[in-house]
Amino acid sequence: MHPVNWVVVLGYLAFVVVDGVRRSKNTRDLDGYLLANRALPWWAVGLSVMATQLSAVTLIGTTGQGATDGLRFVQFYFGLPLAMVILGVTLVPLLRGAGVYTAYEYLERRFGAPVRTLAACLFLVGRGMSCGVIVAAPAVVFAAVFGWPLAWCVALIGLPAVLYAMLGGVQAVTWADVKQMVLIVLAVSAVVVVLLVQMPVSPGEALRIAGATGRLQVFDFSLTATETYTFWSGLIGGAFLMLSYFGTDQSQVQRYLAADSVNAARQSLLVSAYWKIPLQALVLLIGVLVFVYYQFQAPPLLFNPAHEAAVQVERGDDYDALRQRFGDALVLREDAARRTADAPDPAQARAAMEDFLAREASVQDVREEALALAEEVTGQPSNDVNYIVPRFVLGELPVGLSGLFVAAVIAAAMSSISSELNSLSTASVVDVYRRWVHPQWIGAVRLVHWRRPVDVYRRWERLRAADAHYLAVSKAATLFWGLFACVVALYAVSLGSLIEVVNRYGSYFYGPILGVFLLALIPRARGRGALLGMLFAAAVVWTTAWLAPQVSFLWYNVIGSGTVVLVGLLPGLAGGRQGRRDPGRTDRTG
Amino acid sequence: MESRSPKAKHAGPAPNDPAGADEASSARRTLIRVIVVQAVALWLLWLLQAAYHV
Repeated sequence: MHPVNWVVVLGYLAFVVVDGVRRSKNTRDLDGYLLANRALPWWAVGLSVMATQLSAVTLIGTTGQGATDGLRFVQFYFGLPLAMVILGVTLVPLLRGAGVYTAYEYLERRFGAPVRTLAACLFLVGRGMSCGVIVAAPAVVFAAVFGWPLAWCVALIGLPAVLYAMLGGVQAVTWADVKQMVLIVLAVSAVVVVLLVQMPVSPGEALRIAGATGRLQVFDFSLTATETYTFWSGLIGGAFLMLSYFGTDQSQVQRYLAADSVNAARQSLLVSAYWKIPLQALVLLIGVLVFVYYQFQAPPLLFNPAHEAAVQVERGDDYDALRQRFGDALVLREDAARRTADAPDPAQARAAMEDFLAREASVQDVREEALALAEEVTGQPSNDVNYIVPRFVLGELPVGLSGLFVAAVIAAAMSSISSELNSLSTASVVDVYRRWVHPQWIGAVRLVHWRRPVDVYRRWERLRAADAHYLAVSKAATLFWGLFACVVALYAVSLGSLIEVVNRYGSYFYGPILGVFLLALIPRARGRGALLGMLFAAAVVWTTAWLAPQVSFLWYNVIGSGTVVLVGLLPGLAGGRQGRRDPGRTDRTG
Repeated sequence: MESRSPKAKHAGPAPNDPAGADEASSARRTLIRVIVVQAVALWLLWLLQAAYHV
């Protein structure tokens, strides 16, 4: 990469760490560290919510998906706006009114300690693993593109995020997210503009070529459960996934718990409701335009440079023969693409398009052979969808803009990692450590009586000491989860389409967690039913994934949450309309 | 306004509670606004598909 690009990347890294450390001055107690004293404005929280969801997986994996599969992935987000409105009316006021640090803390008040602990543990396992995938996504690509050891790339992306999340808490994370979100939108928009300017055909002609290959098909109204992205799976399954992610995943709940009012929390969610689908369509459009761009410029036969180098060393002759065939096929395809773009009337356009599609198929055939060869040589599944856009950015964009895009990828990764570390640390300390291992705060309140002024002072002193202790443990937990994510990242080497891996991991856990929160809204539900419902739902989801892998993972969320509600309301597990007090319920909220 | 028991306060706003009614109508307005904006976004995507998808 050009030195100017490195200056842009290193400048960004230095800025984000220095700014994060500067913000750590405002986090002297646990409330400031975990919830920014509930004083953040709605727009900052809204951008942080978006930045948390938008990871490097989005900029690398989704753009790659746009290049190979077109715009139809945007259907995944069709349920999001509806989910945001539902959350704004139901869970947001509930959680804000409960004055809790974590969403799971609320579950103890409703269903008892075992349900809270189970939900928190499901979150910690699921989110801890997916945090590793989020670090791995850009690290694996950077390692292949720059030729660095994977561990260095993991450290480059993971350690600055761990540093500012650990020192500055939610305050530093949120304000870093705001700047990172601005950088991401700037970089994405700039790349789209440059692509359109550099394209040898007009935007209309580019879209015609993309449309001919099916890449502008957005809507698929088929009712099959085995197709991952359809209008219905996006609207229904997607709404359940988003309800679960934004309503019960601590990495998002913690954002709006830090807002300065219930209304601010609601408004922050609406930022995503309005902007997520357009932004996601723009990100996918980058991939589509890159695909069209490579109709007129020769693309690499293999986009993964590490695999390309390995194949050249091991099977150089075979690879050269494939490259020769690839070059010939590209010349024919480019000719057909130009005839498609320049066709003067619809009849000629149709004929040229058919020829173009046949040429495109023969290009793809050669690519398939090259991918199979790479798989044979490296012994790894050779899915190079995640390398398409990085190779384009580094090879084709002007100096400075490549650096800006690489900085945006790192920013997207950091904004998600830091928010998740925040939330993992909070759930570990509040729901596990403070609740079960070291309930010092409760001890401080219960052991000290109010009879003499000296007791009041002792109580205050103990509370202050407990707060300092939990603050230190929270920082240590952030560091622990950061290192855990980096270790997971080192092992998550070959992942297929990364965006799917993250969502698939999440969907195993999200359904049962969402189900228990839905159950909490039903007055006759009880703790025992909630606990059994969660365990049963987790078993049902994992069995479905095992026995019927063809079922789209978006439906896991519907299956999981539905099972919890059904089991939780079974006779004998739920109370009557005026039901008795839940035996598992306790006022001890830790 | 009629007096409400502490239990009723926790159960949510009473049907004739102006604050509750305001909140419900504000939620309804927000829902309509979000649906309209998303309908426009989906309509634009539909136009794109209709114009170029073969």
